[in-house]
Amino acid sequence: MEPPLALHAFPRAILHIDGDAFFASCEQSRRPKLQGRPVVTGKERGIAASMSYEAKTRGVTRGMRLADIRKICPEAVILPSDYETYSLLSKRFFAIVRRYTPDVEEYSVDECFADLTGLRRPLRMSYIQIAERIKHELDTELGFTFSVGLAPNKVVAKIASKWQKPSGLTAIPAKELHHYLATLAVENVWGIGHQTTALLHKHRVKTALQLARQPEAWVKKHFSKPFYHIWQELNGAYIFELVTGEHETYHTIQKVKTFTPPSSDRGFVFAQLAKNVENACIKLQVQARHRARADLSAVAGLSRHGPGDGPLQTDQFSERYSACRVAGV
Amino acid sequence: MSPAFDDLCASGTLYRATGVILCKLSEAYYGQLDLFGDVIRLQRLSNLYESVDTLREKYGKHTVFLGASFLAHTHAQHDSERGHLPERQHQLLPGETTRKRLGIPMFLGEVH
Repeated sequence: MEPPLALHAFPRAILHIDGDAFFASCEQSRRPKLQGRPVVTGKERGIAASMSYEAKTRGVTRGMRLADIRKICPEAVILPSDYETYSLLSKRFFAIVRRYTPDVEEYSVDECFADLTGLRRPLRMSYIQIAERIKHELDTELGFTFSVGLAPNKVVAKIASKWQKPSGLTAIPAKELHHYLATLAVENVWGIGHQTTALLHKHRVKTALQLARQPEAWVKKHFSKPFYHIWQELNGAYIFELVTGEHETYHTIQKVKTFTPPSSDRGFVFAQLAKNVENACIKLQVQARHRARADLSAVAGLSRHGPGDGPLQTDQFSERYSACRVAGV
Repeated sequence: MSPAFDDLCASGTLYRATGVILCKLSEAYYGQLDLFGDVIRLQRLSNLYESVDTLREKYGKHTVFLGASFLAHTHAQHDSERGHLPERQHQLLPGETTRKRLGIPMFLGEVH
């Protein structure tokens, strides 16, 4: 029998909640006729941004071109993204979670972390019961499902919410953590990217459990501090605190937009760029709430493959990225 | 920005996207005062943009825009099916515009 990584169950109780196929689900929720049908959003981008589980089972993947989607799934309902609706439903989502705890981190439009520590006694429920209640309220009030993970910290809560999707509820107490990590590949741990994965593979570390069982000194010697924190959390410790305040300030603001058909008309392309500047300034102003100043870089995306291109590759920008820099907008 | 654009844009090349990146963001307060008039120019600009903001607040984003971006505002962003609008923008309530709507994501039905 494998020894456990920790002895407690939930020294802290951290919840990670993830909306299943969020954008597509919002569309199905606002139009019940679409329920049970393959729904894809992202029409205005020409590629799939989000797809319902019905579309996923037919082989539609994120970033797939609309023409390819129609080939493999002719019955797909393809819709333009309605970010206004998604953000309104996102606010409702966070408001429901806040009924139970004020400690909610709005991690993205469709994900949040919530700290339930200490709520068992006032609510007269176990942590799992509280998680079930929150999930039930989300599913019934918003009209689509959420996947929930309960764990002693954020890294493990992320693993738990992904464990069973869609509509799963997985609780991973610290003392049972090793069962879950044994079959989990290191690259599927939150915060471990390609580079770190490659390095870990060189050390013959393939699963999250192998990583968690490495000695502390080894981790400190070969890796950076944030990685050491991930290792600590994989051992059940609570390190990464929830960021419950307002969104932190931006370091940069980007506005990049495609248009069709592609154009070689300088006046038109310049007008597009000027519109990007306006939009960036509006965002800057909303964020700063007063006048702010910034340096500006302009980018232009070339049309390499003629009209009707697929997703823009960032390398199309990079060659000219630093070509111009105008100070003081 | 115009000289920068001349630098960037090669004639005869087809473009399908443009973008800007703002970096080194800082509060305008900390801009240094100077003796030779830049402050006055900035103050004028500031007054101008305050009026623009008032108009935007009342009538919605992009009510007032730069002359330079006129062509982008008067042409649809996409000419194909990519230009289709979300359904909510077709179901406008009295007083709503495609730019400014109430924060209601969905309607249960319509009563005529």
